[in-house]
Amino acid sequence: MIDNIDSKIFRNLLKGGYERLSSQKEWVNNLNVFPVPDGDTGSNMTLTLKGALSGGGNIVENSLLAARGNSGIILSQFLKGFVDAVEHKKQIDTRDFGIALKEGEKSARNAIRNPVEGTIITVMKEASRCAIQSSRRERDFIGLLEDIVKTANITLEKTPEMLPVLKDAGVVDAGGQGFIYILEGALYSLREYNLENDIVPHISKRLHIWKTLASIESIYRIRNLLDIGNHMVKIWQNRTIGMDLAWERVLSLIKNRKIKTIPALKQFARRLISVWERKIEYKYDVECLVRGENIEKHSLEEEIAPYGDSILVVGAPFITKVHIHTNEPEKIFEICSRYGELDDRFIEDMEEQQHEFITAKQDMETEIRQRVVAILPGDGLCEIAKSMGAEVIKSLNPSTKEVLEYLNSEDLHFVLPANGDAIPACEQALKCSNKNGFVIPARTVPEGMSALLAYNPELEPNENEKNMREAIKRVKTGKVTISARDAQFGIQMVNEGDIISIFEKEIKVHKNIKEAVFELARKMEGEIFTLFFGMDTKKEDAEALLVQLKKEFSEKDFELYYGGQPFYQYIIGVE
Amino acid sequence: MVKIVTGDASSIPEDAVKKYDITILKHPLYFGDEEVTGIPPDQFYKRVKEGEMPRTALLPTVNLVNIYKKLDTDAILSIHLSSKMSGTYNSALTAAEMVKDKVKVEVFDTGLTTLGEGMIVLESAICASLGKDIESVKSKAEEVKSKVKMVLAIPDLNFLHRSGRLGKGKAFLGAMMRIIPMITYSDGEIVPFGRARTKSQVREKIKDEIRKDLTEFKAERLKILLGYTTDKGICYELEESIRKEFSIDELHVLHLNPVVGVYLGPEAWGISYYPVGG
Repeated sequence: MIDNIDSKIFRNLLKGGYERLSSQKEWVNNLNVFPVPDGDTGSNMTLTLKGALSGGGNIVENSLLAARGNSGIILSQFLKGFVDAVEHKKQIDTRDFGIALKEGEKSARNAIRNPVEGTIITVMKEASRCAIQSSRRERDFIGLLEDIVKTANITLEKTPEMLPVLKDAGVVDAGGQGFIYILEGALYSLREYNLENDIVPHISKRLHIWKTLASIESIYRIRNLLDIGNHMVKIWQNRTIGMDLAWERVLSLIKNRKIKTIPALKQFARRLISVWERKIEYKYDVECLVRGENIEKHSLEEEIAPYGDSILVVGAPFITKVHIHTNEPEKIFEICSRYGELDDRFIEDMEEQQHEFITAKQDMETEIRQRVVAILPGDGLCEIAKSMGAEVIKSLNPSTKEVLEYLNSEDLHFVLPANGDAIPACEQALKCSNKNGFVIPARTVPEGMSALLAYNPELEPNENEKNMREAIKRVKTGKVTISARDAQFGIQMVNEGDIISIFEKEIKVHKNIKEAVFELARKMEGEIFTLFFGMDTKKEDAEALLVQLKKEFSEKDFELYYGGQPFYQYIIGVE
Repeated sequence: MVKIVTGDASSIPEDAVKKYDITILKHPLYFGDEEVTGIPPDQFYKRVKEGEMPRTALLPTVNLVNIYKKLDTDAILSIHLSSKMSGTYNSALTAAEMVKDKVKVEVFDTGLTTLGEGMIVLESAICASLGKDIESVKSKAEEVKSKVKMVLAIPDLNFLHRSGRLGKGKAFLGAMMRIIPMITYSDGEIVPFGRARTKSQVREKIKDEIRKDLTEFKAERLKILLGYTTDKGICYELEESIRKEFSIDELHVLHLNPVVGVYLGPEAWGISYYPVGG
């Protein structure tokens, strides 16, 4: 149990928070729609924490100097309040931690001219309230942080209800999420436990999907889009609470039959797009440090207030950090310069930032990429399967390990054994890989080919799975081989070297190969016969046989391909 | 009354053209340098089978302008091939602008071709013949466009391939095994619909899709256009199979116009259907 922490452990907690936030920075950026959709909340908070921890000096001072953006400065003020509350102690227990969290929240809140609920300060408020309550009985920091993270997440989930712009944009608050990542990182540093990174669904990608939806004209496309959306929601649900709440809403609306018409869906999409693309009132993010003596923070704040919003004037009387969103950066600098010497002037064009943020060229990685891995026993068969879009493993009966090597991407896999005996190994491999996918239980080469033909990358995975399974049932398989040993099949005695035909459970011995193939052609029913000849069959012989077949069975349609499989002179599929 | 103008790729049959007073523009068609615009389908496909290479050319804007001017009406809905597949839509926009002082022309992008385009034309023409105003006719066209689906089976994909219009389907629909590639349209472009090995598999896939769409649109009945380039028999087989299962309001079998044949080649066939009622 960890019941108290000193300044060294505190630093480690903060470091853990920084690492977690830093790895999740893009995620946070892509939630950033308030106050301005410029996609830098995660980066700014990360920079601020990084600065706080750098050089080993004073955390509060460092963080203030490094603080960037609205959220960064708010975070630095939180750190100030927190550290001020515990500075005089060598060690703190969970109660001290709860009180310090509350002080941090107060300090952050006080720095903001017009605090808005549904943002980082709301998450801080609920987190600290929980910390104070929980610390009354919880002496262990791990338990305490677990409680705090839980409560903070619940609060974060409610932010779209508190701040309508979040709801319209389909996200939770970015700063709040960033703050939770810091808390999580602190917790994991105590547990020495790391979480995997989330896949970041970039806003530009999401907007692309929403825009397609807004311009959609046929229901066919909507189906595809919803599959993508569904998939995105699935990825995100595993990891963090509702990244694309909007998708979940659309899906639930459709499920509950509330969206019946395309126009309603389009309107929904348009509203979301308009939130992210909205024209921002103040174009520039302007920040600077003012160094002087007895800087009157309050009077400085009042002087710049008419020129913009998102105003933060924080720090000490000898060094003050100023942040504002404005259209008149020069005017701000001029006012500040009357209070002291300016340092670290910073102007960012948020309009440009917004444009880059929401239009960044991204591959549509959110689309579910599907792959088919087919296991086939001959080089000719492999070539055919490749031409139909499959990746191939040339093998009669591969080991689990061999199959596993092919399941190496995040795509969704269809594993297609063309051999009944290989099915268990494929299922085992898919299970071991922990990847998404299906084993399509094709027992023969024609079944495998038929399943492969039924695959269509335009369809969603479940539909493909269904189509591929059904395709297997449509095809029948016959084989011609030379027996490798003496054996008895039912009443049929087979000697080594006998030429036999196999169709379903029936095995027959023949005088020659032609007779065996003809027997199958007679017995099997269907429109089209596909013959794959094996590695031991000469091409000329196969072609001659094809001519004879066409002559003898003129009402049937025959096709011949080189399969290259061992053991079987011919594998015949009929459908 | 609103008049409907469209191109011959829509393959609207002669009787419907007369009945609903539809104006059909002929796309220029060539074998080599020989212009054969308006050639009867049988002759055309015979020459294609003999190995001659057909091609189409852009419909001159002036033809559109002349037609728009000639029609004795105050409003025209000019319905065209997917603007992503053909330049006709843009030519029509230009032409419409040029005649705007004389007649109001609304240009409509079907996002489809041939049978799908034809369905939109027919439904809009019926609406216009009831004396509806241009806004109503246009919104009818929009409605049909949002529901109609077209599936084409194209055994010889080379014609489409050569035209460069195959898009996404290129990799998917080529194969070392003989298959019947099937395409549909999405957002004005060709997307693969599936691969079949036999005609009966094509039929089954089409019927599966119809079932899905009837559920999706909560519709009960269908209006259907079937079309073929050289083998009418396939369409009759498809018709028989569809009639067994579905309630059909209307069904026509069309001989696909040579300007479509240029891209589909011989042996192609297909369907467009529009779910109604429910």
